[in-house]
Amino acid sequence: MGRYILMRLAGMVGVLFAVSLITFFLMHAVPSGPFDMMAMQQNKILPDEVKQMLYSQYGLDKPLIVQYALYMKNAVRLDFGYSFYWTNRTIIQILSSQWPYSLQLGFFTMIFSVIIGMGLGIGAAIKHGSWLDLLGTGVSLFCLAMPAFVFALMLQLIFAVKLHWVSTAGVDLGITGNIAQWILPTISNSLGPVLILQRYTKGSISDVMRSNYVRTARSKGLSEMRVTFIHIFRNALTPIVTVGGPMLAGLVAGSFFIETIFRIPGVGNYFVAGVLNRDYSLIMGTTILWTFLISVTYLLTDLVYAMLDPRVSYVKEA
Amino acid sequence: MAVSVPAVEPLKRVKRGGPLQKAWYRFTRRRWAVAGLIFIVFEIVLSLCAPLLVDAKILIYPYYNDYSATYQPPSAQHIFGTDEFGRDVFSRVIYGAQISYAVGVGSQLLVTVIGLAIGSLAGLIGGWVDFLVMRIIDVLSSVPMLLLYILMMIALGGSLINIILAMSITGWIGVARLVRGQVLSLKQTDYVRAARAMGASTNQIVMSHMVRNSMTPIIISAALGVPGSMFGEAGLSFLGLGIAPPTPSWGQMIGTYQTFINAWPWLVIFPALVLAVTMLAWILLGDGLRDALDPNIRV
Repeated sequence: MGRYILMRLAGMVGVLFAVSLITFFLMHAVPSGPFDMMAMQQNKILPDEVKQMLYSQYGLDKPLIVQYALYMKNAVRLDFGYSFYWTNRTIIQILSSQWPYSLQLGFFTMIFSVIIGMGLGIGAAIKHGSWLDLLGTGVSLFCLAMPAFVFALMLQLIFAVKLHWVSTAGVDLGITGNIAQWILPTISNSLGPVLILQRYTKGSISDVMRSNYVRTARSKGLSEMRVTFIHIFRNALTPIVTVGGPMLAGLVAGSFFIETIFRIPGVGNYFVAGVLNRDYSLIMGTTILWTFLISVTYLLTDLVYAMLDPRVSYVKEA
Repeated sequence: MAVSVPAVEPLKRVKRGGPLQKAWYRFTRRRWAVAGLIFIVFEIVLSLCAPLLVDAKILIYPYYNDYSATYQPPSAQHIFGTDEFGRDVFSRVIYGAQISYAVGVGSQLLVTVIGLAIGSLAGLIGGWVDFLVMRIIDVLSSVPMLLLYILMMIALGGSLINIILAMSITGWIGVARLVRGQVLSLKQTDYVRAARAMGASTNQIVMSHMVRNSMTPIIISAALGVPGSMFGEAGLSFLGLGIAPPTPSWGQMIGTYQTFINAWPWLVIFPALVLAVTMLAWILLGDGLRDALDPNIRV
């Protein structure tokens, strides 16, 4: 097992390097740099001499591969440098102050979609063909067909602009402030997760319900409660861990659309601004954070799955 | 997963015909899938015939600015209203369908060809080629997708071809995985061994056995991939990184006018509605195809 984890960690380091390399070169292939964008925002054009001076000051005149080596040399020591746009703020500072917003949205979304998605999925599987099943199918089709940004805009139009139930002012961090402001972002962010959880839960439970051991459990006279909770749920919910893990990683990484529409200052929002401002260090820092998050969750998901399901083993039998 | 008893519902009997006719019969039994297909065909025909309709003066030219009729609410003359240049929103939505379908269908074709080639190569040759392909897939599936799209769009510029490329850059992974798995398992089957023993060339084996046997899951994944690519295009255009104006695209219209949703809601609602209904139609079609082509798969 230790050997397996070590192998996976080594693979993760490789993936991190590859992703950072791709991003670094792609980012520098984008026309105009951070200083051009700054000048452009003040309706000025950067003179070539000034640009050259700035470039040599920031080391941007060196060959790309040297710049990359330099960046990675600092990055492995967790020094991601200063932002080009938010000058005087380091990438670590930006991420640690903005990420909590994305985290909060992600956790709210996860809680909401587990309740709705798994609830509908369980209902649909246990009472096949009932109104709950129909509702679940309807909801999952809606989630599939409705683009999140369209849904978010419509919710905002109806509940914030027309009915004035919530304001369009943005959100406060934490659960003490105006918590109602989080309702619309959470619901519109939940389309994808609800869909996945509903479909997987329904499929997984229907499969287990048809299995021989459930029939055996019923025929030896166990109570329906016991069969449902001990035999069906425990076995059916294990495969859901495999979709739940990567989903959580995607959620806490922040959402570009939802954060932009609801003015949540999370990492998704900052990242889009970073790309538009050509904030090289912010782009790299966010990308590395995301890739790290995704690969760690994949690893953890696989390990948790092996723990829950004794049939899964990553150790080769001798 | 657990051992499951055979499917409960008996399959509908079809008296005559080959597998394709049987699949078609099963497909036509699914009303929602047929409704989706009809809507898609209608939309494709309408958007392709749009220039003819403009010539015949049935449809207003989508780039025609009428400054005496800006921000008109929906009326008999402009059934979806007009925008800030007095352009007809209905006609722009129809022209927008061309972009959406070009991206959706175009990228899925590209994805299928690339995935088929890479997947079958990796499965057939094995060894270091397989290793390399799998590592590339590992890396590409760890890159945050939207990040890749956004960087690509800014680096290459927002044209139709570039959007199709961006949608395809990670899309081939699924097809490649699928084909590789099929090739690996089919390699071991008796009929492939028999074909090889009879002296069939690798080319023949791949074409007549492996590709043909993988066709059903590939068709299904392509049909279900179309709405995904359409959604990707709409998302990029929504962020202002997709199709550049004045060429109309649904996502771009939604993105441009989202801030005016209170004053002129029809500018956002109609493109959004058409986008949602189109995605729904493709999903219904894809689900119907899956049920019709592969009655053994049950989700």
